[in-house]
Amino acid sequence: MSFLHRIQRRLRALFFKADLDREMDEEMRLHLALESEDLVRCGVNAADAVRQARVKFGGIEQQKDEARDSRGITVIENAIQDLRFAARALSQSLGFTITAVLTLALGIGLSTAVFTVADALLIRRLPVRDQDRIVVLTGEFHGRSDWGLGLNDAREFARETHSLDQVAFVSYYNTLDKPIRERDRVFRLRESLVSGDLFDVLGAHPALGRALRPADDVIGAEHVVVLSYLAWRRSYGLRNDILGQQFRTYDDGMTFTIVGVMPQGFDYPRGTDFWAPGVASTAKGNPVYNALHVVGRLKHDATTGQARDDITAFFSRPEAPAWQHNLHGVVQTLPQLVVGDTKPALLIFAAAAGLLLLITCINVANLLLVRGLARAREMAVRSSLGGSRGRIVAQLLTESALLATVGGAMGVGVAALAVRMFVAFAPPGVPRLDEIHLNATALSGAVAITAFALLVFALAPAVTTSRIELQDVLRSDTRLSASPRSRFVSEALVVAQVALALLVLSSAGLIARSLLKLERANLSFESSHLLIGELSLRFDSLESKSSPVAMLDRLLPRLQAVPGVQTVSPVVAVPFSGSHGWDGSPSVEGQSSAEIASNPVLNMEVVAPAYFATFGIPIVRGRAFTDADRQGTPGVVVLSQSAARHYWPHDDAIGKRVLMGAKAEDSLTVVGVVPDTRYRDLRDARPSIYFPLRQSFFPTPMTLAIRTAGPPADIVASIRRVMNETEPDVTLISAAPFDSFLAGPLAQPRLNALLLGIFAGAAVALAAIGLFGVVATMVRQRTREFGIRMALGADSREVRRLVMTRGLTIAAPGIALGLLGAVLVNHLLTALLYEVSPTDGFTLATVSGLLLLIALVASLIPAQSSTRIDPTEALRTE
Amino acid sequence: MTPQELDLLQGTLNVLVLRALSWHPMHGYAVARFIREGSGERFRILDGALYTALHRMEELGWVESSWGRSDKGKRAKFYVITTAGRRALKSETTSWLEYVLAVTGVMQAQPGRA
Repeated sequence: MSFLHRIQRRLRALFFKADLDREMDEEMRLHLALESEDLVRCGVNAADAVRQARVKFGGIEQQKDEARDSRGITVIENAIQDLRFAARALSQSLGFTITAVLTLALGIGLSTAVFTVADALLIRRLPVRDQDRIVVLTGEFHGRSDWGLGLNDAREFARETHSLDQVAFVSYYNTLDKPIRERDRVFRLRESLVSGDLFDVLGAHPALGRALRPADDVIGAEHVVVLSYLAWRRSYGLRNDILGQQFRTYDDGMTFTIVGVMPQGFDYPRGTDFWAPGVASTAKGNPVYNALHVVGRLKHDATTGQARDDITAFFSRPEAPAWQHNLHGVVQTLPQLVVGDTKPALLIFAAAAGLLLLITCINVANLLLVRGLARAREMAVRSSLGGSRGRIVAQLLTESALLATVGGAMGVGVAALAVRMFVAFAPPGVPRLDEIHLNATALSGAVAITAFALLVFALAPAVTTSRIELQDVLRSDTRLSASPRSRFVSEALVVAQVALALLVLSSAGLIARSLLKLERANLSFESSHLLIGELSLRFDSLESKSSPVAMLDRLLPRLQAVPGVQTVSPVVAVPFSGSHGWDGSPSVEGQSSAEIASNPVLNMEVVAPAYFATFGIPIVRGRAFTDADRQGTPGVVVLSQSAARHYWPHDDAIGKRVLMGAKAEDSLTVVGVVPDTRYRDLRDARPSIYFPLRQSFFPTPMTLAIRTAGPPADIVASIRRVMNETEPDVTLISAAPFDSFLAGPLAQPRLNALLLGIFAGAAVALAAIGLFGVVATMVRQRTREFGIRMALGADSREVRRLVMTRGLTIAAPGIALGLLGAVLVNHLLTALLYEVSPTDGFTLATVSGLLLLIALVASLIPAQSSTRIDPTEALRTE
Repeated sequence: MTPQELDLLQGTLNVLVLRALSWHPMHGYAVARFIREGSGERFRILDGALYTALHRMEELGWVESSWGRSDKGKRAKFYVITTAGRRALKSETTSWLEYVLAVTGVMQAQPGRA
């Protein structure tokens, strides 16, 4: 028979079942009628004839069944029947169904949501070609691995390298915010100076216009830039005519033309608003395109190890400057670099999501187990009526599959809602919120895992219940109160849940404690009433007026005179600027080269005498700067305590001299010692060295710190006015209270705490539900026993105590196990923790106590209902 | 019921049914009677098994069914042998005859010289 024909028959059998059955009936009836007629003709009487005909036929119903079987659609029919039955069975035990579906929805939804968020925020996939072959080479020294090469050195390396095919450069120190002033609009764009062939090497294509080319990167070329998608949206409102637009940077007067826009998600270096060719874009005579990171594509057969050897050898070559000899080569592939320091967080969230999923599956498995026991009689009866074990198992599995489907569908809703809520309530400072959409991969992953786990977990109860012997069940004296083995399994599962919940809760607790410590970190200066403002000098003011230092000399007293201002001082950079600060490594006379190599890298500040008062930094020894420290007077510095301790562990630092260069005449005298502060880095107080503004040979810092009497924001308008009146060539690019800068370094820890907190909440809720379920089941199953006890004189309190003891007996090993797990596993969190040990006793004790309390409450509810058991009712139930 | 009913060897039911149908289309009862009479009342198959065989052969494409009127005027389902069915009948018949010859040969053989 042709294939088509066969399909036709199957479809007919499927959809016109009633017709086929009727035909079959008719056929059988005719046969029987003819048979009986023949028998009658042979002399048998009518009634006997009919009976004999039937007997000869041999089992009409079975025949019909066989005929139906041969229709070839039995499997489909069975499946449909299973499905209908499953739906009906589930709707008949709504309590179980709703609990199971909600549990599944919660578990699947939350883990998907968190995975989506972690994926979008932490795994930044760059739209480049073959990203695993792209490597970034830098140098490592003193714990920092972002040292780079000067332009000529970088070019030489590009010529000499054997492991890289294509080489480009990215300027590290010059991802600077460039001020732009268009009439009244003042905004900033973060500039990245790169070599003209960077986009070529990366294999990145623009979304609009064109990318940079090597031809753009020569002196004298027209100044072109490529804009980032975010900048296009934020500063230009996604305008259609963006190509060909020009802007002029306020501080160096360069006019740039926008020739292209990069696609959304192209974010290397991180936070870049526009890419400009390094050679062409630096103002004449300004050696700003330096500290280059080498970005290259590995040769076909080269490895990252070879690239590392290459760069290390280059650092150590004889012609290299002395400080370069100390550098070790660091090689990272582009994906590694981009995930970077968020990798530990990502892994932890993935683990937490996995644990949540596991707890969910355990919960539902337990529910299924309990339910299976309750339906033991039904199964036994079905089995005795001829249901094969395979069919029974298939039917139970269908129920589980249906649960998984419905739960999964709801989980999608939960996930979408959770993601939207996260975007709405995310802590400030979280980047790329717009790129968080429900991740189809994550969702299907979660559903698949859950369905698989569900089937696995459901198999055991299904097999167990189908094996139940008819006599055992029907001979019921007791309701088949769980065979001790299945009760043990049930309780063991809850122990596991409690343990897992404790694990997640302890992680969340540690991270929360960490966050608190970070938020309360002692900055070592007065951070309230502090306004930080960034200035920018118009590009042509340098020629017309005198130097920036003179400008500050004029401006500072005027600002100080503004009502509400107490003191003003310049600072090198805004708070928590990380790499945008200045670093140096002074030495002391008489140090050997080994000692010089081990000198710490100090944070350098160029300050006015009022700096220490502005920040409320106490002078521990010696004095602060005064107006007397200026050009022509002996050079002085102030050191922070840990720096002083390093250079002179046993002596007073006051009066000692440090060298900023090689020559002894360039030595500076230490006149004061102050505490280390956390202005530059919230996590670690940095050792620092301070130079007086008037003596400094560094570029003039253009950021101001202003101590105010009242709320910092109030005086911004006055300051702007004063500046407009007295120094029209200077613009206040930004002004914000100090506290607003805390959002930056706190963003990631806050995010971590929020996400883990959500997980922990869900895990604890699920574990509590699991515990409640088991204890409630136990009460239900032992109702009769309790009734007997009470009838024999036990008072309700004893019964309650019994139940609660049972609950605690289950919870306690879970907590103990969880603690053990936490001690073993939590050291993986170390990267995310701040001044909190992974085995912090306080946290572990608190979460254990919390979980114990919840276990008590979860056991209390069924315990309470057990006290209300009426002994006579209990004895009557069967 | 006749005293000696031979058990039908498995698999031969198909060929008997096909043979019956090779004469002309029949309904199920007619096939049963054909086999009964053709075997001299020695084969009495369970009619249920007959219908199972008919349905299976319909699945295999050896027979086709359609509704028609019996000689008494009653509505009955008639089975018709198909081309594929005729081919199957031919090959099954050949196999059956070979089988019979083989068995007969053994039954008539005498022990060979040792």
